[in-house]
Amino acid sequence: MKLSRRTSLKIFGAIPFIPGLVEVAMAARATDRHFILLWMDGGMSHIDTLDPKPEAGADIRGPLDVVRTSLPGVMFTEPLKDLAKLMDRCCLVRSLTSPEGNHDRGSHYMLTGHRPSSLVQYPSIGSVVASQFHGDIGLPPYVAIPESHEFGREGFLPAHLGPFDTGGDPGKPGFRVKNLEPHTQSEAVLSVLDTLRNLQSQPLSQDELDRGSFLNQARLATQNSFVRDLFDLGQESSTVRESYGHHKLGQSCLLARRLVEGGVRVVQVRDTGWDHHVNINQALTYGFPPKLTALNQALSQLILDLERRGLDSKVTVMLASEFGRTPRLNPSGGRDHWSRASSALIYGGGFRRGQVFGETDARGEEPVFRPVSPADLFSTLLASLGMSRDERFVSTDGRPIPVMDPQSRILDDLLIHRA
Amino acid sequence: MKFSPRQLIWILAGLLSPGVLGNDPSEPPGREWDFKVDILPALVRSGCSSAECHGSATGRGGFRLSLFGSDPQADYESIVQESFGRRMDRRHPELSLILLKPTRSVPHEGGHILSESSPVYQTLKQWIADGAPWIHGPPSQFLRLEMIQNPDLSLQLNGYFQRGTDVVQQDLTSRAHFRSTDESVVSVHADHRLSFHGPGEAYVIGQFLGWTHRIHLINSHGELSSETGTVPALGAHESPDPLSRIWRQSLQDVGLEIPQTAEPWRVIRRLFLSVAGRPPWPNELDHLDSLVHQGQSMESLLDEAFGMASQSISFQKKWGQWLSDWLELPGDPQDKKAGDPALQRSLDEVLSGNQSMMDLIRRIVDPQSSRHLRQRYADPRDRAEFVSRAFLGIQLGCARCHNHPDDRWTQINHLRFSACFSNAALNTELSPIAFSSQPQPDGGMQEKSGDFLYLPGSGYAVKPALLPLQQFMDTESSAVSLVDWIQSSARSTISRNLSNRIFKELIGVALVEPVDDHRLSNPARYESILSVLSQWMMDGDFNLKMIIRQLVMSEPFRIAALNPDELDASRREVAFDYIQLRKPQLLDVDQWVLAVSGVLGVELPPFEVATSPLAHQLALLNSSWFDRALEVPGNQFEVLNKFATDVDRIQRTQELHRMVFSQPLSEINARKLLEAAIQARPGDDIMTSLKAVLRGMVLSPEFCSIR
Repeated sequence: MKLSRRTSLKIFGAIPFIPGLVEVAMAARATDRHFILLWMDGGMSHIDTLDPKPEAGADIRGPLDVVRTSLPGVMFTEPLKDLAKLMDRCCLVRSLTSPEGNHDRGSHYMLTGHRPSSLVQYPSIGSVVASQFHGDIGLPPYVAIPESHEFGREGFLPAHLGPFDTGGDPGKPGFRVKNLEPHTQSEAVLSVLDTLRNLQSQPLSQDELDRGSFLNQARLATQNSFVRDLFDLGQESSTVRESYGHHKLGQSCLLARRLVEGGVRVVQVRDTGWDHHVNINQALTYGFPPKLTALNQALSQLILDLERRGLDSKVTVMLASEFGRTPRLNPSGGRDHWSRASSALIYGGGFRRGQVFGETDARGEEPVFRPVSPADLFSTLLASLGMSRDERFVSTDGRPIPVMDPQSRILDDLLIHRA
Repeated sequence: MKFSPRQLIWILAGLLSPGVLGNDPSEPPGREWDFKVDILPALVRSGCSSAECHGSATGRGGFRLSLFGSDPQADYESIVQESFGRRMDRRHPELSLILLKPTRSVPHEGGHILSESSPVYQTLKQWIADGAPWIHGPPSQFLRLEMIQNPDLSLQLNGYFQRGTDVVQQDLTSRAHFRSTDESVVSVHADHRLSFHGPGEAYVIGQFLGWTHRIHLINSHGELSSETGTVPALGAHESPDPLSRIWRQSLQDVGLEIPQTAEPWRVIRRLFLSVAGRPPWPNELDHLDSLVHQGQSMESLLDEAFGMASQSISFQKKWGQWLSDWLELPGDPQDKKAGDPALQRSLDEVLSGNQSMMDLIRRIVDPQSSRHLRQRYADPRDRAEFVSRAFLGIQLGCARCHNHPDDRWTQINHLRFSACFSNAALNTELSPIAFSSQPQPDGGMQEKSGDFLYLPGSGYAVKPALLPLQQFMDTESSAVSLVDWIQSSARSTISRNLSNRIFKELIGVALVEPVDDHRLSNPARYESILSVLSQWMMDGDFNLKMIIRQLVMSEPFRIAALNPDELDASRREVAFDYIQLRKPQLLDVDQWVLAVSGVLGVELPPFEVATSPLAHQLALLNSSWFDRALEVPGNQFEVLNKFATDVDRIQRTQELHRMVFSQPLSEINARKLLEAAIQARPGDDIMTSLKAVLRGMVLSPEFCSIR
């Protein structure tokens, strides 16, 4: 029997006795904002994607052609031609700049909005958002496809605010999230577990309670066909699947759309392999499919699909990376780490449409207009999702930690309601 | 009329001069003042300089103070000089913003902080009336603190200062911060009065800026009854170790009876889990069972169990991992290719009991013996922080950014200790003369190469200095190598830190939490026990196995293994609550697989590693791993069902329970368990139901934790 989301909520909402679920049952208080992060792991070249420099020398502009976007005067590289047609619906930040040029440190800064510290493990934006908006019953509030970046996790926040990693490759035929289908004996095992709990009746530590709540969540997720179906790409028509592309990034984006539509608050889609120190042109334009082709198809379809379904005002999508890449091609035809300039593309939610924020110099080396730090971007995203600058978390050692870096700015010009 | 900029400055200066603002220089202040001692602590205590208030990085409402008064000079300037001195009205002190705001005579976002009758308000007002001096009179040099508990249970904190040639005593009570380490025993009210609650012992800590004084308080549970008026005598065959004796004495001090210890099977299970990271295997249980039937004492039984647990591969694995985590060694400790082979050999020697942990520490600190420290951390400050937290139990990292008034270690302590780990210092004795006292051309930037550390803003190379661990110890003047210092001056500090860490690993809760915070203001839960362990550690030349054995053989370990359900008498429950030493530790995936492998008596296929907790629980619940485990030939489940066909299903359930939990199960409860499985899936055959029972058992909190 298939249960609709509404029916599932009714049925499973009637079991508040399950430890740890009372809070989750308060999902009704959550707003309806969602966030999808497309994380290009390794450092996406800004020059070869969203901030091409066609007027620069060949050693900088690279071999890729450029294409006009739907926003006058703004160009992308040619492989992103479908995305270019949607630029008038997006918000492009071209002046991201960071002092962190190392993968780990750069990712930490971008994903947590704070520079790394040996004293505090900062939570990622996904966990911060998840802490504000509880997921539905049995449904994790934060999902990573296929698995989260190390710094995309909960940091010092409670474990249940960390991402649920789907694992696997959604682009492969027959992809299923592992172990979501109930084992034939799982009912009997859970029944034995309940009986043992009564027999042993020992006080449980916080770690054990956390573990118990995850087990309950696993139990609900497997018992609830609605949740299982959300993770099942087979529920989509072949036309829709085809439109996103039969590749990892495309099907990951489709899964992300299914999840936010079903109630998941944050989805991190992590695409690896963007660290192109050697022959970047080939790395971006060859392959099955080429990196940029996959990105173009997946993201443009995601935008169109969200719009078709009327989710564009509820869902914020951001395409980002830990840093940009060196404007000048190195002797191996690659580009190295470059944190002084990079770009991020944002769509939907509370962000203004058809806007380019900031600008890099003629060679794409430095922002020359309205520089934006990762902390600024992080704070602006949180503000767009309804969080205020004064919000604080309490770390495990009892210290109040501001959610947003106190030195950061909220970029009001990017936001609809604050502009 | 127009004024030139120069004229304007003169006019403004005239307007803002003390005479105009009300302070007549001809009238000297009525008393001696020292802003750092008399004013700053009052602001800290009132919460004005907390992170939520004006101590935040950007301040509040345009007024910024340093966090918890860590920068007195900056705070003085903020209060007295900033914004043209608008926070002060020396002619009418009561109209000063610094008083109007906290009394909420004008709007104040932080609410009502002070009343006009409070001592802090009066002090501030008088200080302003006296001209708000930075210092008036001879400068104060702090000598010591003294806390007194008065007969009416009020506390008084006195400070002794050197002012000129005099030693001056000041009552600092109203400016000090008091707290109890255990509110269930004793609490401190806002009026500095003590309230005693439940029985036990606690420290009351008085803090005045960076200085701390503490008193130890015991709240007895009451007189013991005549039958139990003294500590129960031990049997002739029992000779408790010093740890147990001290434990008994502390129980007597708080008027509690000796609580019962856990059942032998539970202590043994806990011992195996704590020492070897796995439950006892069926053959080991059979052997110990036979010793019980021979009438062996509990001590002999535990000794035998410890011998078996510590000789097993699991011991090497568990404590090898513990050592690796502690030392932040890269990779799998069993992988000889990873990291430093010589260090790995040294680690193996420690595990086999042939080498002391102090040798291991010395090897790491000595740049001639190991490159670990330099490989692990490129920055000398990171090296210093690692050594301080891992070996000394000192949280030095906080002082990296700024001084904390509640912390003993300052930013300069941090920098100078870090300089000991710079590449230049590692090859020399730590004598200041080895370092240049000339400013460096880069203006004081801290060099990344680690060759030298420079004092920020000055450009002078930082003179390396070891941490003054003991009061009055002057380590700056003597040239001593880092290795010598570790082995001599730091020996007792290391011993205390290591004892605490091992205690936590075995018992589940540390005596000092956090484990790397052995400040005076963070006393041990049971200081006497930590002292004994620490002394044992030094007497036993830092032998890991020896200290583990001493701990698991002690009475506190046997009490800590108790299940609260086993307690019945109310007085015993109080004693058990007083101990509060147990905290279940979850087994990690490898430990859990090892434990299941022990239950089934066969080597099992690897369990899929999930990167998120929900994915892990889904794998435990729904994966086919357990089915495959039960297909491994010769496993105990198969043996039980193949050769015990004459045994009925209830008895087989009881046997499964013994295999998994090392303890018997009543027939009634065995029936309940089996019925739970059968009722959930009525169509299954008995073997399938028994599999579900076994699977449920190994997923239970009892099995998945070291309890």
